[in-house]
Amino acid sequence: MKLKIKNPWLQLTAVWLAMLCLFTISVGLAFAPIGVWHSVINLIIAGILVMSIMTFFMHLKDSEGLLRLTAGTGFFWLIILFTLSLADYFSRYSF
Amino acid sequence: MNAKSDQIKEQFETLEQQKSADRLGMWIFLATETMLFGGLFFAYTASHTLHPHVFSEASHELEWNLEFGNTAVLLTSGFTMALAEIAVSLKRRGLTTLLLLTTIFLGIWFLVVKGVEYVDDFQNGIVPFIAGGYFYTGPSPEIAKLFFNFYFALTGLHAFHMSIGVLLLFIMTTLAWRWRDPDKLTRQMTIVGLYWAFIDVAWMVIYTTLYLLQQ
Repeated sequence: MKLKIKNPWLQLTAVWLAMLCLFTISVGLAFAPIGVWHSVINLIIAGILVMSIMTFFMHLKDSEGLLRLTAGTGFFWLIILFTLSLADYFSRYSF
Repeated sequence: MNAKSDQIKEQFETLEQQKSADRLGMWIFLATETMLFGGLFFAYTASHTLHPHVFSEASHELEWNLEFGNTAVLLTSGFTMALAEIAVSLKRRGLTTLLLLTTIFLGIWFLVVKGVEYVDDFQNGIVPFIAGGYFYTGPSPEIAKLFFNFYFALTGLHAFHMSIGVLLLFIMTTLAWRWRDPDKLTRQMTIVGLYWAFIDVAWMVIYTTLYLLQQ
């Protein structure tokens, strides 16, 4: 593992604290009276947390392009699975 | 033959190429894991789309506050594992061992709290697959069964992965304590670290979809 930042300890600590803050905000917003927006915000925050874990704890920020592409492949296939299958559900049922 | 070339397998030309192949193999494995969890998530999403109100009511039976603390514990364990990877790359034996033990402790803590929640679930009558374990009185109990089955399948699959992760961490701790080949240990820790962080990723999605989105 090649570490490019001078103090990776501090960087990881900052990321960890930021993630805990974001997560706490996400839980707080889940109970806020903002209608469907809490779902949208919770999903966005979950996405940011997942990206942070992958970028810093899984070292994607220091990885070569091939590894980043491979990491994205799993999610790409997931998008295909969800899009095509949900298209079937939405066209078959009326909500 | 020097010590560095001893570590290179015959199919690789350089150690860097070998390390890269190690990480690529692990990422491909994690992509298949994403599809494993993804299939379950899709089934959950489709069922939720068909029965949104029943699923939302059923999710209020889950202990979101218990798992709030547990999620923080899991995020912290991901942090200590990432620190352990730095420590081993800097050849700091004592610190590596300490950070690995901390990660194991947090991992076991998570699993114990999860177990406590399962016991509460049984007492609250929301365990459909155990005789006498299901007496949910909310709306549409038969459809709600589907939600609880998804809940146990997703969290159970996650707990299974975590148990394997804790076992791997015990092996890494033993290797770190012996400290026979720090360079090889650094490579092994990178792979185990990827697996442990993936467990964090899976849990963030599980907690958000099962516990938070329904509130």
